Amino acid sequence: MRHGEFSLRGDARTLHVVDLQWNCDSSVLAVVMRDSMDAKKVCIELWSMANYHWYRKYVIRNCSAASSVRWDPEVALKMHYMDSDGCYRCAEFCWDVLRSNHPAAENAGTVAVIDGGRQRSDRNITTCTHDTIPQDALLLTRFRYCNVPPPYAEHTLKFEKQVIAVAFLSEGDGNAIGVLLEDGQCLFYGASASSKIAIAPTERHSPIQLSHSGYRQIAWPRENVLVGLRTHSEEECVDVFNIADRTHSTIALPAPARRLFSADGETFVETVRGDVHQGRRPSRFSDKNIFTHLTTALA
Amino acid sequence: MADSSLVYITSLPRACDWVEARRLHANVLLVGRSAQGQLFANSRQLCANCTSFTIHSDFLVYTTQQHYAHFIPLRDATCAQSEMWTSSKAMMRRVERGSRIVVAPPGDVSLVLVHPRGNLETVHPRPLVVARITALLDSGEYGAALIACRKHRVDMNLLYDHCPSTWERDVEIFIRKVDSDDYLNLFLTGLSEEDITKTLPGYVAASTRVASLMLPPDTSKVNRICDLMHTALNNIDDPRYFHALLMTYVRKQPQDLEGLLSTIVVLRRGNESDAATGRIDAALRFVVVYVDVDALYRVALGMYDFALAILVAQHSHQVG
Repeated sequence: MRHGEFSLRGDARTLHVVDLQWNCDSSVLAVVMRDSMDAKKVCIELWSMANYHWYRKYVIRNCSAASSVRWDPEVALKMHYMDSDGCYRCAEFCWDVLRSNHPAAENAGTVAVIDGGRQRSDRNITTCTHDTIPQDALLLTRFRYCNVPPPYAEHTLKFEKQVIAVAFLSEGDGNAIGVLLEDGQCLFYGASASSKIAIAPTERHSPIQLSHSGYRQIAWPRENVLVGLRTHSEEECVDVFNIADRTHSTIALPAPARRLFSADGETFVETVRGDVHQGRRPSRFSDKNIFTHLTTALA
Repeated sequence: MADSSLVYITSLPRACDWVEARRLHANVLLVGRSAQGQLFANSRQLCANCTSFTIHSDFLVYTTQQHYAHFIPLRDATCAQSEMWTSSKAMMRRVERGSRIVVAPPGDVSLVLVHPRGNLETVHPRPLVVARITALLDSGEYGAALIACRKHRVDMNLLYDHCPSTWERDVEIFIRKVDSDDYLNLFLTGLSEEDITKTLPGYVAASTRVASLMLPPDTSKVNRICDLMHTALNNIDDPRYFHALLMTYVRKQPQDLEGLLSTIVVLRRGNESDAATGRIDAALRFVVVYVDVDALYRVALGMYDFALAILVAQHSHQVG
C-alpha cells in the first residue's frame, strides 16, 4: 500500500538521488542528491514528517561526491559526512521550537516552522517541470490569537533561498522576526500585536547582508544589534552586527559554542561545557580550541 | 559597541541543548535541558526526565516522560522551595502521552502542546488561570477577573480573598467595573466563609502578600462583604443593580428579611403606577427563589403592612 510518500523538489532531469538514510530513531531522512550537470555538486537534504506532511528542514551543500552520509548509530541527530574539500565533518542537530519568548504583555506568542522546499502555490502541474526554484517557506502562527495546526499556518513567508535560522527580537513587544537565509542575507519582519493579521517587512530595519556565510544560529537581542554564531577556520566566533550603521565586530569564543540565545536585550552564549557567557562588558579571552562542532536547530 | 566581548556569568551543571534566559529583577534565570532530559534552573536540577520546557511570565512550565506538565513559580525556581512545587499535586496536570510544549504566550492562560504525531492541543492549566486572575485583581481589573473566574470555573471567593484590604477599599470600583446585576449576584451567591487562597489549587501567594485583615474572630466574612456591598450599592444608587442590592439582604446570616421588604416597599411609596407595581412584582419573584416564603410572609405581616403581605402571599405557592 502506498503510504506517506513525498516528492523531492528540483529538476528531475538533472538531480539524481544517490542515497537515502534514516537516522537511528527514524525521525529524519537524509537524502543525498547529485547534480548530473556538475558531478561536484552534491547536497544532503534532511526531511522529516509530522501530521503526514514532509518538511525539508535543512540542506547541506558542497558535500563530497565520493562518500555519502552516515548517521550516528547512537546519537539520533548526529551526522557524519565529508565536505567538498575532503574534510570530515560531524554535524549535530537538535529539534527546536522557534518561538517568541519575550515576556511582554503584547507578545503574540508567535511560533515559526521552517517548511523547506515547498512548491509554489501558483504552480501549475502541466508546467511545473521548468520551475526549478524550490521555495522555502516559513510558517508563522500567533498562538495568542489563533491555533492553526501545522502544516497550515496563519501566515506564510516565502523565500527563494533556504532559511537557516530565525530569531525573535527580545526587546519591545517581542513580535519582530529576523530570518537568516543561506546566502547570508538577513531579513526582518514585524508582526502586529493586534489580532488582525499583519506580518510585513518592517520599515525600521532594511535587510542586511552578513559579511560571512556559514552562520548556524542568530539572535536579535536589541533593535539595532544582530548576533550570529559561525565556525571560522575551525574556530568558533560570534559576530555582532549593528543593523543601523552596518558595522560589525567579531568576538572569539573561549570554547566551542552550543547555543546562542538572547533574553531581555542581552545576548548569551552557551559553550559545549555548559558555561554560559553574557555579552556586554569588555573582557578578554585568549584560549583557542581547535574543534569543529556544528549544532544547528531543526525547527 | 556594547556587545564587544563576552563575560562569563555561570555554568550549567551539564551542557544543555535547549537554554532560555529570563531576567528576574537583578538576577538572570537560566533554564536548560540536557539531551538526557535533565532540567536545570541555574545550578539546581529540577527534574531528570524533562521532555520540553518554556518560561511563561509567571511560571517555568515543563513536561515529563510521565506525561505530566509541571508549573514552578519563577521566583522559586532556583531556591530550595522548588522541590515543594515540583511534587505539588496542584502544580501539575496530566497531558496527552508524549506531548511537548510549543508555546505559552506570556500573560495568557493558554498552553499549546504538540502531540507526537504533530497535532496541536491548547489547554488552560489551573496555575496559569489563577495567576492571570490574580494579576487582573492586582491591577484593579475586577470585571475581567470576574469574567475569567466564570469562564474557567474558579471559585469567586478569590476576588475577595486574594487581597481583602484592597477589595474593601475598592468596593465601589468593583461594582462599577463588573457593571452587571447578574455577575454581582453570581459573586454574592458564591460567597463562603472559608479563605479560598488556602485551598485553591494552583494559587501562589505573592511573597509580599498583605496578611488577611485583622478582624475579630467571630466576624463573618460573608456578612462583612454583604454590608460593604450594601453600602456601596446604596451610594451608587443605580436601579440596574437592584437585584444585587436585594441579594445583600438575602446572603446575610441570618437573612435580613425585614430590611429586604422595606427596600421593596420603597419602590411603592408615593407611586402607585403600573410600572412601580411591575417592579415590585419582579423584585418579589426574584426574592422568593432565595428565601423561605413562609418566613417572608410572617415578616411582612409583622411589619403591619397588609398590602405587602398580600403581595408576598400572591408570590408564594403555599399561602393563599
